[in-house]
Amino acid sequence: MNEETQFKLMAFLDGELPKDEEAVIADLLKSDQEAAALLEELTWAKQTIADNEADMVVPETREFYWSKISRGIEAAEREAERDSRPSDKWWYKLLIPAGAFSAVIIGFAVLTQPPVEDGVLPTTPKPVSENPDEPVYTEASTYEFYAEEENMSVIWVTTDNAAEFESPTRDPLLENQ
Amino acid sequence: MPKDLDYKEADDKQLVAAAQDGNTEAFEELIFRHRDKIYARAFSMMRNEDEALDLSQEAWIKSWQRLKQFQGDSSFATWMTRIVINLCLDQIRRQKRKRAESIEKLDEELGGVERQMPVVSVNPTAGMERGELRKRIDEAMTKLSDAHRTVLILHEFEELEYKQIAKVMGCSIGTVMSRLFYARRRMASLLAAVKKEKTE
Repeated sequence: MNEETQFKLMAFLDGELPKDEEAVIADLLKSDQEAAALLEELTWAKQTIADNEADMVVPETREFYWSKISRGIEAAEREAERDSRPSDKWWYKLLIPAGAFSAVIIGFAVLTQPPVEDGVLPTTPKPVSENPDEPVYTEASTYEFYAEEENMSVIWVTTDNAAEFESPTRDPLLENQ
Repeated sequence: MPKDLDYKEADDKQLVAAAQDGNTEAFEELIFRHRDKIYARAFSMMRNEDEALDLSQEAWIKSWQRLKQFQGDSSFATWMTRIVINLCLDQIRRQKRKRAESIEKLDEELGGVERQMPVVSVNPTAGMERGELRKRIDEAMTKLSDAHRTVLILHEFEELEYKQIAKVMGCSIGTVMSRLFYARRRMASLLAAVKKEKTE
């Protein structure tokens, strides 16, 4: 008897053999004493084991057994709660070093910038006039005072190229005439 | 769900429903009712009291966490037994990996011996007292490989079908049949040896 037939014999015993093969095994059992003896052994082993599972009792009192499970449940719930907090997420843990790194970069950028002179940042773009003939005052300052004799307020404007403005020969309006 | 639930009188379904609502007293009553069976199943698989105790407790903790998933398709006891069996199988696999062995390798080693075993023609435990018989069967189970013992437990005690066992153990139905066949034959042989010992 080959292994396949032996397994079919066992499947026959366990009721797991397809219907069309049951008749074949039934015929075999009538004619083959070895097969019948094997089936008898398997049947006995199956039944004896199934009917005689060892009785086991938890070797601890109900209270002690429950207290350990109760502590385990509390610990598992604490762990689950900790896992759900953003402070325990991997990306959250990166926030602190990433923030510190950003602060260092910004600090470095600020410290390495050229110093401000005369109240004007060197990076300030020069004003551009739409009229090419109009003088452009890049550096201008004003001060005002009240002229009591004329009974009026005077606003005095000075620029870097004030000389150009004052010169009649360079007056663009005059040059164009 | 009534607030004045009598835990001792309530059936498993009522206790499960209460436990699913977070009632730990109902859950404690369920543990009290089924703890011996769950512990026995863990012991039959692990053959070690300490491990069985730890795994049975772990199974209860897991069941509390997954209680909302229990739909009542099977009995609570059956559902719990599946949890503890899965934990035991995981533990056995971890132990196998540590020892750098495999269940399949053990099967091959033992299968070779069992193929040559003569058929036990006489009931080897006839006339043996029930207590004695249980003790002998328990001892014989210890001598089986983990794979053979597990398949016997799942088939004879849990009454699972071949395909269900294959799913639980992560193997083919053919492997289940092979393991079950040789596990039964080895048990018959071990118990016949007991009978022989007693008569000599």
